[in-house]
Amino acid sequence: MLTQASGDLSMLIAAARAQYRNVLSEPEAKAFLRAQGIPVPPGRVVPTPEEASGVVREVGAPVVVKAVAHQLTHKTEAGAVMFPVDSPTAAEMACRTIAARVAAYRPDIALDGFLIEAYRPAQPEWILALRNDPHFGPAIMFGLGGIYVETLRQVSFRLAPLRDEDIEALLSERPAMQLLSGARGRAPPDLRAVADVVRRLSDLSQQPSVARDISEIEINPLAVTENGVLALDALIVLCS
Amino acid sequence: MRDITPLVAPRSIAVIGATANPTKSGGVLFDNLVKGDFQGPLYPINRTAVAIMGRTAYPTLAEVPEKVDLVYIVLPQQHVEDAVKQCVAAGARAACIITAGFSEASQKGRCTEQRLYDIARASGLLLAGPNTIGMVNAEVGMMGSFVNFPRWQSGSVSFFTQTGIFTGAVMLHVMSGATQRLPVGKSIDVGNKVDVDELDFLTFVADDPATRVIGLYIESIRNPRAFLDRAREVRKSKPIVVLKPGRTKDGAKASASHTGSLASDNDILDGALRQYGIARAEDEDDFLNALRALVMLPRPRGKRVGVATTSGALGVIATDLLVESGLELAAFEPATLAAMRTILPDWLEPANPFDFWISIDIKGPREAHEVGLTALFADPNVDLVLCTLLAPSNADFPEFGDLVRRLRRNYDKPVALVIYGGEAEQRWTADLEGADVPIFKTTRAGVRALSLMVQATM
Repeated sequence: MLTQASGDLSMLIAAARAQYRNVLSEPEAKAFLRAQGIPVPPGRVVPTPEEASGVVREVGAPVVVKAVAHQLTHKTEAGAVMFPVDSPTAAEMACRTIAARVAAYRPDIALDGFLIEAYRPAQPEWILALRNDPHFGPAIMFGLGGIYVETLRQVSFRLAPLRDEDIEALLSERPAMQLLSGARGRAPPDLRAVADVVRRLSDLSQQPSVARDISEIEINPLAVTENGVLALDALIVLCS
Repeated sequence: MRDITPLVAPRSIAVIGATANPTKSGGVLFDNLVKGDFQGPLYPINRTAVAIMGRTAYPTLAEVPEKVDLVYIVLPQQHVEDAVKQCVAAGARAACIITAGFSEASQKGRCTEQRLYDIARASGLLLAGPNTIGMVNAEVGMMGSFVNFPRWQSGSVSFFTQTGIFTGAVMLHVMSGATQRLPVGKSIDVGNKVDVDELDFLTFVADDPATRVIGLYIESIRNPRAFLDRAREVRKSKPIVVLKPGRTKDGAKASASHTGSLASDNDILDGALRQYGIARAEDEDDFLNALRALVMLPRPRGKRVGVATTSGALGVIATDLLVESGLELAAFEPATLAAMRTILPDWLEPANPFDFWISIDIKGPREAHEVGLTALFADPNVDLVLCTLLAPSNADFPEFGDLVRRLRRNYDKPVALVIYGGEAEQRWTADLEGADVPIFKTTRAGVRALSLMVQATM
């Protein structure tokens, strides 16, 4: 039975190492980020489809339903992410559908449960990441995320720790970042919240435990709206 | 932090492998040192010769009557290790290994190179090379290169390069020009960079009063954080331009994350150089143009560009390039516009870019250029001046050089001059020689130079 992940980094790392994992699961990564003051959507992990409906009643529909399994690093390819899911009943069905898809995609993988979270759209999707580069040390990456990361390459790096002027430059370096100052017919996003989350990740990189044990933290997508930012998905890779 | 003065500005030099044979690298290098008028003692090391080019030769370094600062090693690969040991035994302070055939050639060469490093490190001998064309320091008359440069223009640009023959080729290209030669006081090529690196070099030039502008061609950075921290300090007084190729190297590899697959050294380096205020050139032309602008021009006070052009098309092209490279078009003051109107017909309103070809018809080339360019230079909103001027005979006038010289002197502003074709191009260029006005062949080259200048100084 899977319990809610703790936000304590040393416990998360110990748990992962005990299972010979060097990747923290999405719920683990999000628990850690939440503890660091980086907003994530409300929700939690349930071990069985039957319990999904309870989470929908807590956080409200629509929700996103995702498979949780340590070995499943590419959830979308496995069809293990469904959204928007509009009702408690639909959430339970989504869990069953996802279980069947994963079983077909990778029969060797055992699911640890389902992550049910309030559905928040991200348009466009941004990516924010910390990379502990072996040569340069900690660097922060920001840019256009989701499926555009590799194709459009609208991402830039700065070495951590970032000064205010570095954050400002990072958030305006690529043409795509003009979207951060508002596109036609849309409320301008909360740029201060973006700067704040960049600063938090930069500060985090300076913590000795993060510098020692974490190779990468990747928030992708990061939703940016007029009300702030949300880490919709997150991945933490430990140093091997 | 260590002092590389014995390597870069030696008081005495020995050359192991010096020969009177002008077809050998050791012959050319020694000849260059003698003819370059090296200011200290020069010792050719040669087992059989009594003297080379009038300088007493010694069979081994041990027999030289002083501990020399710098030893050039120009020997076949298999003798280099022994020569480095000689340097250590004789108490030399630095050695520059010209010979190739080490880590760039084979695994065996890599092992030998590592041994050379170990031998040198143990004794504190500074090493440049192997696989280098050598080092030039015009200030002390050290033309320590196996490429011959008949006309070296000395000056306040200092180069550090990590390459074999490239430095020689580029320098030959630079120094063989009739005009607009880049004034290079020091050109230190460390080849495979076994020991002395870019951080040592920055430490040296930081305290070198003769260095005003720094150019680095590097293929790797040994210690990026220390280098960038030092560079941030040095750039406050001496702007730095880096040419580091390998921008497109495909760093993609299977990875659990996007950052893992995206973060090639190049992507991070690109961001880091912007963050630390170091200009990054894209190719050798870009590199030399940026350095020429930086060494000839005062620092920009902002990034607003005023464009004067005698071709509407070049003005539009310039505008695109300026905006794409992060510069801005200046908004002209009313006084500027009023001055510009005096050379335009009633139906034409001046703007930025200021296209005044029609004024040549109305007022003649002298007055058109005089009024148009002066208005642009004088505008307080113009931080940088870009002139894209056509030079056919009907745009020519004898005082063109004087006009630009006067404007350059009176309004101490950065200016890039693009002269396009025509009969007067060569004379205009010649008339501006020594005026500290960089001249470019294309609009792109001019705009790039201004934009790299802003990156390196602001």
